[in-house]
Amino acid sequence: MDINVRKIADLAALEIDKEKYSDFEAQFMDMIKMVSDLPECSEYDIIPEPMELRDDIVECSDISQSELLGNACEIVKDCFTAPQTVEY
Amino acid sequence: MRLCDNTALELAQMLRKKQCSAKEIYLDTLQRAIEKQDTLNAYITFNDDAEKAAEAVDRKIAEGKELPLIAGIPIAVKDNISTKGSRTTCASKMLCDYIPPYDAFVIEKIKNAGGVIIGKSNMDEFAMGSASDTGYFGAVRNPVDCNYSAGGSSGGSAAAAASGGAVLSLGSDTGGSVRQPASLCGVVGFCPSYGTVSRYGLIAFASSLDRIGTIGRTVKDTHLLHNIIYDADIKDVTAFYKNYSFNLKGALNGVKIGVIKELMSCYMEDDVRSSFMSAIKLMEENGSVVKEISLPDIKAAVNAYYIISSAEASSNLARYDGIRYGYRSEKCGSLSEMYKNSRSEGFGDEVKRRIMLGTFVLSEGFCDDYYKRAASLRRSLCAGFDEAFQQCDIIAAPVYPKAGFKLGESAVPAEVYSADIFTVPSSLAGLPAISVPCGKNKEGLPIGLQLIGSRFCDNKVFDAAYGYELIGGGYNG
Amino acid sequence: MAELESVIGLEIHAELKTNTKIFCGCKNSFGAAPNSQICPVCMGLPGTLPRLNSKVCDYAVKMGIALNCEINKVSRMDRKNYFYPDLPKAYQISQSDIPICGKGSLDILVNDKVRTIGITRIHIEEDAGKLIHDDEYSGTLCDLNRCGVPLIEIVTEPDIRSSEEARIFLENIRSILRYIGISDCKMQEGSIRCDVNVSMHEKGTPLGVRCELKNVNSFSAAVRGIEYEIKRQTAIIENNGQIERETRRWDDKKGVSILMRNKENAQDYRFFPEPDLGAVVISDERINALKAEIPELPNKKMIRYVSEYGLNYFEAFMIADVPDKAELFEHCIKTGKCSHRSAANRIVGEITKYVNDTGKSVSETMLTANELAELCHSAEKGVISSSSAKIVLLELLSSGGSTENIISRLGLAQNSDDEYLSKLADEVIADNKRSVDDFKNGKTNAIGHLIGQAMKLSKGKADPQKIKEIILNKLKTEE
Repeated sequence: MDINVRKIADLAALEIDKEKYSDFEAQFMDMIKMVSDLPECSEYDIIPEPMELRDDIVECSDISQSELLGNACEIVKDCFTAPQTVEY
Repeated sequence: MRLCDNTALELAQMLRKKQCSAKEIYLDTLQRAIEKQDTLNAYITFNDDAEKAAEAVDRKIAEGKELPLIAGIPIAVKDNISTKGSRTTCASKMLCDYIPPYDAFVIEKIKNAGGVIIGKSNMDEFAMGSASDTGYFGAVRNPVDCNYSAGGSSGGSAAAAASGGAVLSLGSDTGGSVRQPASLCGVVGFCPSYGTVSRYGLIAFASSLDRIGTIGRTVKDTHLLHNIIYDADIKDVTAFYKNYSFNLKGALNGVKIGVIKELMSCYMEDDVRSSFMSAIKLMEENGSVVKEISLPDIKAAVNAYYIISSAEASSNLARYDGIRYGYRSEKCGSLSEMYKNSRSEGFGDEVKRRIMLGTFVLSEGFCDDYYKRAASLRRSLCAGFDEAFQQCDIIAAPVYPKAGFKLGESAVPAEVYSADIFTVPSSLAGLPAISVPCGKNKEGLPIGLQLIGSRFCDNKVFDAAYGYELIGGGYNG
Repeated sequence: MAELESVIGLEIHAELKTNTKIFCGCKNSFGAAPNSQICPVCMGLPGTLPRLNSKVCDYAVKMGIALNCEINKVSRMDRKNYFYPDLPKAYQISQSDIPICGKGSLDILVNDKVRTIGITRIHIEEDAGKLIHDDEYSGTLCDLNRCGVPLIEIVTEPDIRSSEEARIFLENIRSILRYIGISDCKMQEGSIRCDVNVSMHEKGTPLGVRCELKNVNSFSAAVRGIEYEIKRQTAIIENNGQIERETRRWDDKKGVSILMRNKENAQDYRFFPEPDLGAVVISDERINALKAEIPELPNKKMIRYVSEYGLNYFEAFMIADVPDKAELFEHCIKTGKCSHRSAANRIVGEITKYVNDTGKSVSETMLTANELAELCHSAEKGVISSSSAKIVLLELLSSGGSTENIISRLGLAQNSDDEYLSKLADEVIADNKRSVDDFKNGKTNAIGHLIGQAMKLSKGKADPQKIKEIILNKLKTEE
């Protein structure tokens, strides 16, 4: 199957520099080639270790709203901001 | 000898005998760290609150309170562990101004025990690398020879502990990131069983592999810090194993030590091989039984490791989009431009490579041949280790094929990845492992011996390492 | 060309009414100030880890039991990866390969016939935040309060054949969600949403290529969306066109579906097991305990109402659909004071109208089952007229109190005193010469007008049956 590096970059929301593109692509293909040597697997059903569940009880956080919003580069009306979304 | 050159246990005694104060220890260690900063670049941020923490310890000592042994000991913390109110960058432009509003579980534990966090140590960006040279704040240099790399990704933590710029350090180990820099800097680095130390607050690289490890100059020091952070935490449902106290005895007599045939046939420098062989011989002379074991799956472990860790990383690092925290590009017209530009400008090349690889191995049409095969290999590798530990108590292996490498030597990513062959198998299986100094190469660069235990038998690993240290291995900085 | 048949499958998302969110202890509430119900976990701060709320599993299992699903005692959480500003981690924690509930089915009544709709699965997942488009801001504002609100997604087999069946199925699901008390089902708050898959084929041939319709936010929108898709696809097929596998967005205001993604640019969610969580394990004891908590469900109730109480399907549905209506009905009958018929009539009629008009639920009104029984009893025994009964019922609904007190306070007791009624009859006969003449000329229904006048004069208190007899007697003796 063909590997479309640009499509993968789109999925990862990354832009690859035009000047560096061919270098990157070559290096990337090397990496894929390296990791692709794996034995075939017949079954795939990963069941992780069981976990403990949380009780449905409200926990009051001692972290203020301003601390939670404080790392954003822009806050408008107590909201985070993003460019206009195309409704979908 | 300066205060900062003592071990944590020696300093703990001196504090109790009132031979020095916690503040003096802190100031001396800080002074060393600052003296070395220009050459080593071990730190990203120094902690402004450290002096107050040291003073608080001194007050408590004066009041005659009994304190944990860790109280008043200066500790470096890898900069991917969240510290409330103090920036936590992951050595990335993406998070260079990020201030966590909460403390990681391990930080809470250290603060409660009176540990003095001296600063946040330098690393590979998002812990991806083995030379501590992929970060936004420059490379970390090896205290033994500053032309050489300190290793990675916890290079800053290892270099700080080795140089006296910290007495103890916290690192994180996903595929060897505590053990390998410890080996290269000549200190002890311990990676606990997966599920024994809470990851809450550790900024994720690969969640199913990430572990918080400890670095010190002796096995006992390393064990001391590990015991503080080793506890069950409700906030991490994958960390459920409860601590129990254990006194190191260093018994080697009758300990069955396995050596994996397939690993010994891998490439390693001659000095690395001979150091390893003499370490094994020394243990054998002291009553251990050495056995050859076979783990055929181990050859593909590096591939499985890079697939799984990159897959998880691609998902874990997707949240850095410039909206809620982190870097946002100036150039963002549309939504997709904002994502692409912020992420492409905020992440370095190595991180981008791994995100790309991880995205690829999970993508439609490839997931079965990559991610699922890797997951399947991981499972059979775990079963292989289980079987191996029926035949032996501890597995011994080298840590890294090289004693060291110079910074700036250009390297092909695929080749760099292959060098992780000795550390990633136990990462995939979640096993406890330690790197303890076992010799030096011709240039005087340290070499580490790796001891691996079965899952949740962390104390056995410590005890074997301590035993080895007692008979002549270990730190001699 | 053989007749085309539409084939429909639904994916229903229902918000669960737990106290807290699915992966953190934040309050699960609607309508709070922007970003006031968030914490490091649900806003996806680096280093945070999820912890699964046990109630969410319980609720999902309950729904699974109600829909006859296989319950997976061990299930797994997975990550669904995509970028959008309402998704802080850029992945949704959901379930992919091993959902909490597997195959099941639900019987629905369509035109008095039972149709069995297969359930493919039910899984648990987290909701995303809300994006706000503000006039004063050129971009999008992100409010993360809804992030981490627990959802179940119910996926059906492509067993539905019309928009009408889809509507009935959805109403049944809503009714069950209410009965087992796991969701508020408030459409205006978006607590139930669905995606609709529609394809067309000729009967007896393999299924056609399906299109997925997103953004369907009400049951009526689902009906409209399905009908639109059927028309759109039929037109394409009849013009010898090919249906393409597409995801389309339903614009309910404009009544059209718009292409979002086709096969070439389909989303690749890159599902993989959530490494921050372990397996979800449900014990047999827990399943049995949850089974015991499930009340008689509306479908069963409906059938029982028809067979035991002689209600028709419409009445049975109207009452059984809403748990507190059914409860009122059953408690009322249990008193043994009134007939099933009169209780059913009042619930389907005046009581339903009252709750619809006021927006209250039956349990939020002041009416009790006992007083409803008393009221029905009084009306059946002729203590009050049917028009008075309506007045009393309205009073019981709005202000409460006892039927007896309201009748006496408002002076509504029906008068059956012979002397009074005789006088009243004389008065009516004297004042309505034309009707009397009509009656004598054989127009027997003129009696109705005379009775009406008598009721009017008595202000509704005359016993209508008695006054009829008296007037008839007087008219006959006059002859």
